[in-house]
Amino acid sequence: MLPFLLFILVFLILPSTNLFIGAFQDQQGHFTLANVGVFLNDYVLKSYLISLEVSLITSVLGGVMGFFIAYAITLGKAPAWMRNIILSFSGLAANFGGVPLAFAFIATLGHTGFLTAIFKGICFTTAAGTQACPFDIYQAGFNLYSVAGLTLTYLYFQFPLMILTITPALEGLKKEWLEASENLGGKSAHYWWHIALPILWPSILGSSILLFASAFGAYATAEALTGGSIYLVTILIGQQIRGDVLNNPNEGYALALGMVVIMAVCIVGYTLLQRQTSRWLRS
Amino acid sequence: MKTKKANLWALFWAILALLYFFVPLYGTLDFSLRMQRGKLSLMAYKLVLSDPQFLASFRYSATMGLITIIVSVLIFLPTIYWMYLKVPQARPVVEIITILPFIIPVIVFTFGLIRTFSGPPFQLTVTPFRTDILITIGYVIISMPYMYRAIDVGMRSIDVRGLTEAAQSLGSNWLQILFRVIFPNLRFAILSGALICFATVIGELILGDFLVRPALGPYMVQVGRDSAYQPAAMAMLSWGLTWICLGIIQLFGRGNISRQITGR
Amino acid sequence: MAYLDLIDINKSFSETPVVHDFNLNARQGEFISFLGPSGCGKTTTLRMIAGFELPTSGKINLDNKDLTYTPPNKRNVGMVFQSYALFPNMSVADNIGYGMMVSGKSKAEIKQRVSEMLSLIHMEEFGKRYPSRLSGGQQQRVALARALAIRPHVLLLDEPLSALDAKIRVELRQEIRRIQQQLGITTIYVTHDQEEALSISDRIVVMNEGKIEQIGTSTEIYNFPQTEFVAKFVGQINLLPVVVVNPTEGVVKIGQQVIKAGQFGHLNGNPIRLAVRPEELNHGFIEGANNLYGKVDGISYLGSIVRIRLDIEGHPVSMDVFNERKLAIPSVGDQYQITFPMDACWLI
Repeated sequence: MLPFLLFILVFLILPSTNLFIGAFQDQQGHFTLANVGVFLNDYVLKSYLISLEVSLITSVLGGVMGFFIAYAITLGKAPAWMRNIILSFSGLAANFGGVPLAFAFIATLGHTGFLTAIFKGICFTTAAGTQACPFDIYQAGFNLYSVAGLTLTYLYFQFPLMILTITPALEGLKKEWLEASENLGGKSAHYWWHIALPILWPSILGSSILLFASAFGAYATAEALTGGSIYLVTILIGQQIRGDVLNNPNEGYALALGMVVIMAVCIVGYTLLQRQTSRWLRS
Repeated sequence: MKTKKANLWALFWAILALLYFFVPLYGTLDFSLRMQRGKLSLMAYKLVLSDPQFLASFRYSATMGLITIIVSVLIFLPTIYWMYLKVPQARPVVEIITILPFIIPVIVFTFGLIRTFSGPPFQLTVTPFRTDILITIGYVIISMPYMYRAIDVGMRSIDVRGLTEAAQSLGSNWLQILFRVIFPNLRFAILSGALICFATVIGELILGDFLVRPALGPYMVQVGRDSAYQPAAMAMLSWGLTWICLGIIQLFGRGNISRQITGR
Repeated sequence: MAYLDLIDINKSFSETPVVHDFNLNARQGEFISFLGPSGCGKTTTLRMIAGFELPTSGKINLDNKDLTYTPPNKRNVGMVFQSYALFPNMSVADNIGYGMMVSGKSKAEIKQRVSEMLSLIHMEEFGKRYPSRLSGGQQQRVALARALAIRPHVLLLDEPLSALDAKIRVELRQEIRRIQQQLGITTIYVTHDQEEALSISDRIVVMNEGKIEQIGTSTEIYNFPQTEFVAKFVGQINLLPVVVVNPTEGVVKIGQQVIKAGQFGHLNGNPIRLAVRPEELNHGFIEGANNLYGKVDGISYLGSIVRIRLDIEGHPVSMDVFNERKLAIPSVGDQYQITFPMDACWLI
């Protein structure tokens, strides 16, 4: 036990607290709250907004997608082979992030990507007798190396994560509750509105929060995809480590602390919400 | 009246899932085979696998992966064992500790590591060897949640107290108990933790990049900037590796279960 | 046509027959138990009445209307599940009012009915509680109230008391019977506990391996079992292999001892056994009744009953007597004389 605690203390707690203390110091090492002002910095504010935007969109979209897919393979009674593949792949995809994921999407939806080429190649002759190939997505404004592209890429590990976390909850819904509802005259909609969704919503919300945290803390995928041109908070911190773009290292620490606070709130929220749903499912 | 047929809504979503999983995969595969104009070839793969830098960084990351696994097991296994045996009340604290790497994003953690250990008195970034020590520590902490989970699940399924007391009554000391009794019984749990650990280290970017070590992650990013087809090939190779790792876990997991049933 | 009819019901799960040739005519207001060992098909039959399973063949009529293919949420039969299945996210009052809520009744009506139901189950103060805060017995009563709130035509109960302690079981089954009689509602009650079935039912359907062994009142089932299964399953029974002496008079013998049976069917030379319940046996010798003697093998104290195990001509016989203070308990190895009336035994 002791070596473990020592190890954690020195290599996890120490660097972290060092960082957080630094957030409250000035260049000379004196205590100050001035670094909190970094959040009012235009640059920094924008990065937080972008990070929040991406995280929110992917957690909502990923949450909704994941929920319906999980529903499809549990209560929706999709064929067993589909269910098995989807579950195994969810395990795979939820772990497949970072650089390879970015490369995969570049290969698929980049300027010369697989899908891009297919869409471009859909041609037909118009009434005027000319060839028209109207599905060039880049001409239409799509760009993989943008927030939209990043969202699509993130979704690849977001919705499987949702599937994995919400499937146990869906399977925990007792068959007898549905039967009791039917027996008392309720239709499917009644069951979902009055019983299933109320029981499930803490779990759904909790999982979405987990998805949010997962996207918020991601670095490698964005870096590999856009080379750092999209200013997420993580990318910004990375630049700060490399070269003090904020001109004040302590502000960098405040930035980092801000991230950790957000993540901590998310994880606590997730834990509490999961507990509520498990309590109901156990009864 | 229960119908056993899937409704259309469910089928739609299931098909959507399958599409989203497979289209990028297939697209990447296709793209990776088109390095030579006009035909399908494995040229991109050949280039990747014959690049000495690739081999060097793969070797580096694989080695670091193995070292990380060993260090992790050496630190966590005895700790969890002790917790199960003597201090079960420490569990909530330990669980919170193992969740910390989720709360502290890797980039922030790296920031802290560098700030704390690069200057005096540690000066762990001065030489490559010392930086390797630092990076290993980083890897161990990043994979802590997964390794802990794997070992914990394994411990739960064996009678820790019973085995220990039996061994003690036969005259073993702690070291012997750990290595001859506990460890062999947790083979599968440790294997699954090790595989996830390995996959994590191989695919890791941040620590490798910022601590300037020749890991596979930074190498891949560099290749990504310089060429078009090799990244796709690397993505497929990466995919294959992850699939193998998780596949082995599944395989052994099933084997473990049947072993528990037949008792042999 | 009675109120609830099950006609030639058969049910198979992928080639395996689970229920066959099930016929029942239940009168309105009757309390009928399905009694049998696990796997005998009683729950499956109940679920067919509720609509959760479809019969492979046969019909179900309720009040002369064909119910066989009606969806479960349109049948208006109330079901109490073995696991209660109370909705954990709703209070007791909301659970009870659920059926009325989904059929669009007004808030006032719902409130009225809910408080009626709460009085019926003597839980007036519990409206705002949540199921996780209730004991097993309380949850069961709420489940009952919830099923009754929709004023169902038939009430179905699937082993509702099996998860409860023995004492509570006895109290609650009386409660259920009382409420049933008060409301006059036709009720089907599934159980494997024969004491339960015998004590509260108007009629009992004894089932085994998917088919009906016997339908009758408690007295009929206990005192006049028509098949060997029913005789063995319900209550304790002694079965002695005997040799026929006089087929028309029902005279048989075991060893050298002669017995006259009160009931017997066609004695055609197949192996015959004499059946007599342990509580019918008494110590002593009565002229004109059946008398047997044997050796005492063992004595068990079962609380209010003392069970004396005898060896008669090499076969085990159990005798039950009340554990009264004045009772003279024999010792193991004693020679013992027992007597029983002629119509207390029969031949199977």
